[in-house]
Amino acid sequence: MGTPETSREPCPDRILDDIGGAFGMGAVGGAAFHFLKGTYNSPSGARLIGGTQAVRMNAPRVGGSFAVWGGLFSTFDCTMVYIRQKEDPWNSIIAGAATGGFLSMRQGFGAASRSAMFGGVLLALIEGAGIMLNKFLSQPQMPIMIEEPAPNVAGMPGYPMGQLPNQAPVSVDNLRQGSPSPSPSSSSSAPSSNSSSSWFGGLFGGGKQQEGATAYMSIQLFRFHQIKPGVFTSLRKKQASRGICSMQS
Amino acid sequence: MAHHGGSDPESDPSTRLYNPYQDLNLQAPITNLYKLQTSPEFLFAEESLHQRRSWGENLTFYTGSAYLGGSVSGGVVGLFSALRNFEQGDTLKLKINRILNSSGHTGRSWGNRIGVVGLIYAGMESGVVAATDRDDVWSSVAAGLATGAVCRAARGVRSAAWLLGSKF
Repeated sequence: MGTPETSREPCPDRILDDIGGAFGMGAVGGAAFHFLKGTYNSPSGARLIGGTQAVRMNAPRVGGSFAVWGGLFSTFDCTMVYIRQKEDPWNSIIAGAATGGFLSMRQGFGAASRSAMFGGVLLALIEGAGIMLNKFLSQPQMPIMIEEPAPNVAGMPGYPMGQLPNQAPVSVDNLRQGSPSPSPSSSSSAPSSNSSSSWFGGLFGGGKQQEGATAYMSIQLFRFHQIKPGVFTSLRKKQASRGICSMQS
Repeated sequence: MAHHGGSDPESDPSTRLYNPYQDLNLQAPITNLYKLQTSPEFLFAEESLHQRRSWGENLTFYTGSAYLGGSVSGGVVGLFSALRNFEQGDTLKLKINRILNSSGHTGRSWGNRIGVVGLIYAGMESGVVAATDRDDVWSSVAAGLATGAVCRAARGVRSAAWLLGSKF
C-alpha cells in the first residue's frame, strides 16, 4: 500500500474533494463539448463567438450537475462506510442507488425508484470494471507451468501470497486446496469468472481465504479509486445561467 | 524509534507517543512507548521543503469548497426569499414546494458561478506556483488577479468581441 499521502482522504474531507473533482470534470468536459457544439451550430463568421457563448451558458450548469451528483454520492458513500464499518464496493453501489433516488424524489416514487435502480446498476458496472481492471493490472508474473495443471487457481492473483514468484508453488497448493469454485472451460476466461464467483462467494459466507482475497482486492481497488462520473438524473429544464463570472444580477 | 530518556515528548510538538499494542487488550502492562513523527518523513531536507500540494489536490479543494460555500449560501438566500414570498392561501405543500424551488434554484446558480471562479483560481494558482516555483502569499495574490482578469474579460470584452465578430 502507498504512503498516507497518496491514498484517498479520510471520509469527511473526501466529500469536499469529490465535489471539487466532479465540478472540475463537468465544467472542463462540458466546456469542450459545448464549445464544439456551439462552434458547429453558429453561422460562419461568428463561430468562435458562438462557441464561447455556448460555453459560458452551459459549462457551469454541467459542472454543477456533476458536482451535485458527486457530492451526494460521496456523502452517501461515507454514510455507508460509517454505518457498516468497512470499505468495500457494496457501499458505492448502495450510495449510487441512493443518489439516483434522492435526486428524483420530487418526481414521485416510481421515477425515484427507477432512477435508484439506474444509479445502482451503473455503479455496480463501474465497480465491477474497476475490480477487473485492478485484477488485470496487479497480476503477478507466474511461471507457465503453474497455470496448466490448475486453471482455476491462476484466477486468484489478488491473494497476497501469490505475489512473490518464488513462493508461487507453495501458494498454488494452498489455493488449490482451499478454492471450492468450479474450474471454468478455458483458462483465458478463468480470471474474470473466477474472480466474480470468489468475490460474491466471499460476500455470502465463503471461507476465510476468500474473505482475505476480497479484502485485499477492495484495498487495491481503493488505491486506484477514481472519482465517479456524474449522471444527469434531474428531468427539470434549467435556465441558462447568465455568464461564467458575472456576480451582479 | 524507542522512547529516549532525555527529551520530554509533551514539549516536542513534532512527535507523538505510540503504543504498538494499543488495540490488542493485552494483560501485561505496556513497557515501551515509541515516538512517532507527526509529519511525513523525508530522507532529504531539500525534498521536504519542496513538498507542497499537488495541482490535483489544489484543484479539488478550492473548487469543492467554492462550490459548497456558494451553493449553501445561495440555498440560504433562496430560503429566505421563499419565506418572504409566501402568499395568503398557501397550503403546506405549496409552501414546501416554494421553498424547495427557490432555494434549489438560487443555490444552484450561486454554486455554479462561485464554483467556476474557484476552479479558475485553483488552476491559476497551480500554474503560478509551477511557473515561479514559489508557494507564498504573492502567488495567491497573482492568481486572484488573474482570475479577476479572466472574469472581467469574459464579461467586458464580450460586447467588444461580439461587435468584432459580427464584422467578419
